[in-house]
Amino acid sequence: MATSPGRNTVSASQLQGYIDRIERLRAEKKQIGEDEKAVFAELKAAGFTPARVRDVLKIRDAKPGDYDEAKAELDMYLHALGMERESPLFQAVGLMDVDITARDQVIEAFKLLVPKKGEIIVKIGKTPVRLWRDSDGEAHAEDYREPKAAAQSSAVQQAAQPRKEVPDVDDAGAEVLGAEAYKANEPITSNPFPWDDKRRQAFDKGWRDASGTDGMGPGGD
Amino acid sequence: MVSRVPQRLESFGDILTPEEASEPILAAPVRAALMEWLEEIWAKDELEAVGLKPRRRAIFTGIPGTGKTTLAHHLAARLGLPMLLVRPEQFLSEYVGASARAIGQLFQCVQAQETPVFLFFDEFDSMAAKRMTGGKNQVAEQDHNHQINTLLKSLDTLDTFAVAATNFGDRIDEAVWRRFEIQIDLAAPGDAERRRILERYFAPFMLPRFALDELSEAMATATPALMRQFCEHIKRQIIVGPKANWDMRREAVLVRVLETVKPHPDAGLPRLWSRKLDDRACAALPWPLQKNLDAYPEPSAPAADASGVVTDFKPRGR
Ligand SMILES: Nc1ncnc2c1ncn2[C@@H]1O[C@H](COP(=O)(O)OP(=O)(O)OP(=O)(O)O)[C@@H](O)[C@H]1O
Ligand SMILES: [Mg+2]
Repeated sequence: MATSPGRNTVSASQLQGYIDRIERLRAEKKQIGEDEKAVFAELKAAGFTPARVRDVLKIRDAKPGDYDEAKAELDMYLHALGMERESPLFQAVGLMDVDITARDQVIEAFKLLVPKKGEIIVKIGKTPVRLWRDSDGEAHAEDYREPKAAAQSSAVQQAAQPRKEVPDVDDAGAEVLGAEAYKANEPITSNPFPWDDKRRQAFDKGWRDASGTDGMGPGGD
Repeated sequence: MVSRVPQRLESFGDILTPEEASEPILAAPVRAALMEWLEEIWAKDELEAVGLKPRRRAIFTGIPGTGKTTLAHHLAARLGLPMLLVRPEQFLSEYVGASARAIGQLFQCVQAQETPVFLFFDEFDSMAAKRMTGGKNQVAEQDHNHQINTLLKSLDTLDTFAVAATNFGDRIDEAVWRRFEIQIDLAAPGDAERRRILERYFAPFMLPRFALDELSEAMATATPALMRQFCEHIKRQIIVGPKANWDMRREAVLVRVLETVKPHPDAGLPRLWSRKLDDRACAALPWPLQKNLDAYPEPSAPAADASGVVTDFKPRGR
């Protein structure tokens, strides 16, 4: 039978070397860990929050791209759950209803966000504000008159848009159209005139008179 | 970055167009009140000339299925305005201040529209419950009270039409309630209304008058929503049944319908649902249903049903 490797073979002493090195490194690591703890204790004593400092370290560790991505993702999740955190800007926005000076604070906060090239238009309170930077890089704000349609919800616009063409008739003509619509078995809500057109009521009246009802189904019997 | 302020009106609820509206069938006094409101809105200029404004806010109370949503939509359609159906879930949040903020955003968003939006608040009680003073959970109470204050302020500045609906009028905060200038209670329909509801939802099938009378009587205390389901389910059976080889005799159809369409346990049980086939309204229902009253055999003659089985068909003298 072949001899099994004895205690003092070459491989055994090699192994001993590795183990010694690892043990030394471990001792060092322990020492470093303790040193780190001491730094944390020190910064805590100085009034910093250790947990936040750890967060900062983690962020400094990560690649910038990875961090931005993670942050956007976190924001999105929080938003989806309706629990997004409020930055001071949004607190100021929340206060705007009750505190008129809050509007200025919001505008100041927005100034910081204005890019070098380009502009931001925000509706702060009732009036929109345009923010931009001049050639010296200084941010400015001015009230902005928006083209009205921009604020429109497209669904509302569509809903309010009469489906049919608005007939070219006067009030009396609209009343006749209402009566005709009734006779053609069209609902009273098939009124082709928009909400702010006086002829809308004339059509409604024509329909009601022709049906002898108020437009909400047949009269009582 | 993700936008934090939902600017789009759609994010607060569904937008219903005038075309989709149907007219509710209501008792005469309610209709008169609504017609009065419409006329008032249309007389806006004349009222303003003497320093008055048309009323803009109404609250509808009534048990589920009495037509609160249908009525609001009908009004919006008569005015030619899109209706935003605001559901309360959007405003429930466990985060302090979030509900009040969302309410503020909604009103701001509505005000920003060029075309006025007819606002409809469904299940308003969950948004405008009475303010609390119990002192049990101060944060929650203050938050809710803050929400009510925001709502009050928003309603005061709102210059479009708003209708709120609730099954529990008594739960609404008094100050909020006062902001609604018109209060309408939608009760369960009366006899005449029930007949018209049956006619509408049985169409294109037509029922002879005595059958309508019987059915309407047997359905006293039913809501329009329940009656609609009942009629539509019968019509569905008439269409699908023969293809699916179901038993299409009157009793078989009625049993199937009465088994699947049921009033809410809290609502009173209409006679038809307690007596079922024993109810005389069942015996009075001519079968098969016809689209033309002349197609029914003479009332005194026994009628043959779809499968050729003769059913007893004896209207009560009326
Ligand atoms: N008065 C009515 N006339 C005709 N149909 C009605 C009437 N009331 C309700 N309906 C029908 O019943 C269904 C439910 O009605 P609706 O949603 O308007 O009731 P609601 O009072 O708003 O109920 P909820 O309290 O559950 O919201 C609708 O499909 C509608 O067509
Ligand atoms: Mg409803």
